[in-house]
Amino acid sequence: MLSFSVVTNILFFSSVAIVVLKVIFRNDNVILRLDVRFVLLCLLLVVFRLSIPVESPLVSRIPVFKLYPEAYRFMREPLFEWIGVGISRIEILTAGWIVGALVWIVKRGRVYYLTARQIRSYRLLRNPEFDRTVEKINGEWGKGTKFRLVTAKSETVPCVFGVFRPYIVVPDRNYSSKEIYYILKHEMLHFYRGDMAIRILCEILKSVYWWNPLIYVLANLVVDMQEINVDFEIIRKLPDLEQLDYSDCLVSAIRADGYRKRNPYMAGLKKGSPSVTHKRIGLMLKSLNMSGRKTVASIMLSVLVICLITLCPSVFIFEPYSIVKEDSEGTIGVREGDIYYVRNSDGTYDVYIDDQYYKTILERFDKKIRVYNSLMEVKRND
Amino acid sequence: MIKKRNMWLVMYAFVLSFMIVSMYDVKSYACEVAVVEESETAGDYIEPRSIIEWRYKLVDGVLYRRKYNYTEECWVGDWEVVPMVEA
Repeated sequence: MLSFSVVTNILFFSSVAIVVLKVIFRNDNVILRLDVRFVLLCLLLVVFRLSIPVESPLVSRIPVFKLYPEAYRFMREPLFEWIGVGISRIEILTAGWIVGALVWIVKRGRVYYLTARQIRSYRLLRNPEFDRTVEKINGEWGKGTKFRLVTAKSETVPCVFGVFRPYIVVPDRNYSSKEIYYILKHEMLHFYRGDMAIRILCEILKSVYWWNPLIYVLANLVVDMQEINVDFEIIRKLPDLEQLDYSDCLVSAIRADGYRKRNPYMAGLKKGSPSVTHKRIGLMLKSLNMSGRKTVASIMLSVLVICLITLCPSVFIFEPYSIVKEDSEGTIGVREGDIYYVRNSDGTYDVYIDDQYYKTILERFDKKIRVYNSLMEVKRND
Repeated sequence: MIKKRNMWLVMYAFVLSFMIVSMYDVKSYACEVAVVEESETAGDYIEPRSIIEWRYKLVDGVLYRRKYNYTEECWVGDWEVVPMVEA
């Protein structure tokens, strides 16, 4: 169930995970040690956790005694009344969040619609070599997807668009046979792997969490890791020299394009800034000299990242824990230590309240009350 | 035309579901005493969405208990005598 604590916890753990993954992304050796597929999987787990912000049934509540209770009290304090209902900061922020999300969804939906309309208006590419290459790659992957190849002078970089009816946009220039093969394979792999649907999901997340800059970082990381994964998927099956040919193909894409703002709904041979493309080429070259063997450190780091991303937000929820002063007066809480049991040798328990003996009982009435083995142990704990 | 409509339907469904789920937890937080069913007070029932624990008080030699919601800072149910099996 969605609540203030659930949303706060998911955002907290996701933010930590995004920062960790961003740090990992900056280090080529760590990416290669962890494996590019694993890093992408971690990113996708964060995306899916943020997409389903509900409480897991296995959750364990961790009480927080300082700061969080004060912050939560401040948030839920009624500021004014509206139609007989007290309106707090939580309600105001929720309303602002929903309005912002609606605006962003409409804006991003419009971009998607305009992109789709623009691509459908492009001229169909009638080139038998392209058609044969599409058939060849479909055969290699055992697929029968029908791709619509279109071309336009305004496009400078090949890209793919569409979740169900894919379009591949090819810039209007001359290509060698190898270039055609690499370009089409790259774009078709994006479609086969479902990258387009994940990009749409990322755009929805950016709309929903429009106020959170880390979600934009996450979406950019997902796009960059998708590109790196497709690159590695292609070069994994190529001999070393041909891997360099593929890198050359990427370099040509940079020369043809320069830096252009990325369209989030299109996956292309060269997306993002030249530095990202430089990183992709650097990673491919480094992977040539690196063995695929996992080290203990890389396995430990993988386990840590997976725990942080999947287990923590599903298993733990931090909850504010505090009591109003008037409510605590004249009463005793189990965590305050003023009520406890002392276990007797015959299996009974002596109940002590404020260090005074109260009664001897056969069964404990509250399992959360602390049990001591002797009064000496009670004194030692004081 | 149909595809465009479908796209908007999917978006609408997503936003609507998000709004419904978000609004589900909107409360008025003047501290309220919740009415607790007999079966809940008798056992060790814990409301799943908050940290709720028993608090105790001793009045004329009788130990009473009442649940307290430490997350929302309010009482749950009424005071009751602690059921004890004396040795």
